[in-house]
Amino acid sequence: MINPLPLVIADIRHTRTGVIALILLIAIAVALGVAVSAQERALRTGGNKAADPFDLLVGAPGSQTQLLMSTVYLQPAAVDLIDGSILQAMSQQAGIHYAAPLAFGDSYQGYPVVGTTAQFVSLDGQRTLTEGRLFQSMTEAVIGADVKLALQDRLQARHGQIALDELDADEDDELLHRQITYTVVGRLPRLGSPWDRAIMVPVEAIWRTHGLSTGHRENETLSIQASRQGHKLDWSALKIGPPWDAEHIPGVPAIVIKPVSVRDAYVLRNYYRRHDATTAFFPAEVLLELYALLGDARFLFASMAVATQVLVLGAMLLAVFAALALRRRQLGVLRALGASRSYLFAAIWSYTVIVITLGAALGLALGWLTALLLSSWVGNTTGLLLPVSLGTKEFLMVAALIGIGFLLALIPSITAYRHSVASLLRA
Amino acid sequence: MLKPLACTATDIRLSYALTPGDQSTYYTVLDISRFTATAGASIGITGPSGAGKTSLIHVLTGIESADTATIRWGDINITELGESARDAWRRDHVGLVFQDFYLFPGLSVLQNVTLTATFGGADSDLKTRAYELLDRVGVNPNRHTIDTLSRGECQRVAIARALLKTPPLIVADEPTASLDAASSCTVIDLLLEARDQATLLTVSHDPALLERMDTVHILHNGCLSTARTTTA
Repeated sequence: MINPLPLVIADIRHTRTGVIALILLIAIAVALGVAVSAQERALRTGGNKAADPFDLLVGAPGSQTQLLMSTVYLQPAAVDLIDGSILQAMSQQAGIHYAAPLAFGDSYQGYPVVGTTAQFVSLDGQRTLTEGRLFQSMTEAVIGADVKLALQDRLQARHGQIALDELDADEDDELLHRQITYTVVGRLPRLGSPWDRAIMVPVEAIWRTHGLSTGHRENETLSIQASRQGHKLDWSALKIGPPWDAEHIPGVPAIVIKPVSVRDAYVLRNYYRRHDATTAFFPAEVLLELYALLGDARFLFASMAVATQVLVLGAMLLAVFAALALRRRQLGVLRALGASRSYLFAAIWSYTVIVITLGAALGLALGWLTALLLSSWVGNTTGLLLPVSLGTKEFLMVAALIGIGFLLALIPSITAYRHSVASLLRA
Repeated sequence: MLKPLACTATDIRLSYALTPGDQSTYYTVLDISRFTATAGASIGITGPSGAGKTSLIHVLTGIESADTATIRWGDINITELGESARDAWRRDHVGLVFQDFYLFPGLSVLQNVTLTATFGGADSDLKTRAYELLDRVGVNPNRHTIDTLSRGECQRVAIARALLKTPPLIVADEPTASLDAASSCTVIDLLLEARDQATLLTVSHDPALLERMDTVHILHNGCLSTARTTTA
């Protein structure tokens, strides 16, 4: 039984610098393809997971992508408001389990402060808090898993993107008059979305701090009474949550609707899409469009990766041919000593496929690591959790490269196979 | 263990084209009507450089195909064998020693000696034999690299490699050409020790080696003439 492995291993050891360079070249080319593919899937998975709680989004007519980015991914953007009466009407509309307004614009130490309802924060009881409880008054807040605050910590949100100390004196007085100090009362579990960095407060608090009505007649009455009597308004005594009074409800940037059934979801989407003052969409619709763009980019990168792999395999073959040209006499000696052609064939083929396989395996690991690092960076920057995993696609890609490498390795092997002993020894 | 091989070779003609690919003009390298070797004999072939000595042993061992030749080693006419069969015949019957040793860098001393065992064919415990041979040629079998061996040590390792399978024919091409006198002497002793079990065919310019051969042939202009024959 022929066994060229000792010779192959010795040769790899003897030419390790060149072999390492070849392995690294192959690994980098493979890693590029694997990282692009794994990262794209991670983006899809992470993007979908982040959009899960948002069954149906309703906003003012305009860019659905912008609305999606503002609500699901909490990217700051100027969004037109929907008339508050629409939110109020939803509370009586059939097919709606709940409709939660989302109000953005404030922040605290870089964490976005989002106004909504306790029902949406807990997904109507489907989501359990890891600490504390839901907010029950205008001065309470629930924080995301990554917000570096503790229960009972107190905070004052910045008004919009402007710090209070940057305002002029008149504005300063007015804002301070409306400023609410929140107490952290609960923490959400990790969601793997930018909402992990959000501070959630009653939407009425956001309305109030922006000088708007709070949606409830009794709140307005209390406010007027306090003002007349010269008392300081007790924020915690104000009513929060639906239902709101139509004449006191301000506009909102977005509304999340939890439909009762799938059929209701489509009926509601069509209804609010046809409505003059609104647009409505399932986040998955917009994500699919974004993924299509992402797919184009992935195709471009994947094509570049394949081209690189082809070039590297070509370079690898040239290197093997060059090495064989330098070692023709050595091959001749092996034949003279009695090594068969099949021994030489097996030795050269094994050498080539070992290098290709090691390079591809290292590339798979490098690609996975690169995707992990990219995901970690995206996660730190956006709060979006991108779960990186190697799937069948990546393994097939690497298997295909190895398979092609195995076939290409036949070329130098057959070339050496065809030479006579005498011609090899004369080299 | 195979018995030493006797050789009968006739009508050896080998020529090369003066211009590669052009068969119309060629020069004759070998033109030998008859060459014989008795089993267990030691035969030296000498002659000026370029006379065709290496070509002759290549033809005699089936490494190179002559234009015409009938070469019989023992019962086998190797000129009737295809190239693959000749490879297998060499693997099982011939121990080759080269002037430049041709040890394989990256392999340890022991692996170099046992290299031919990886070609297939043999089943016996050649590792034990390799240890014995290296002990006999005086090279430490545990050296992990051949890079630090002297030329004399390299040639002794090459001889151990040639003797590994106890071949019935040992062919040595200028085995002492690049060695100092002391190393040459050791190498000659080792080759002659093996003669008990093998026919020995050497190409050499070294008088010390040729002197100890049973028969010495001179190759000149492709033709062979017998310079000396010693009858034991």
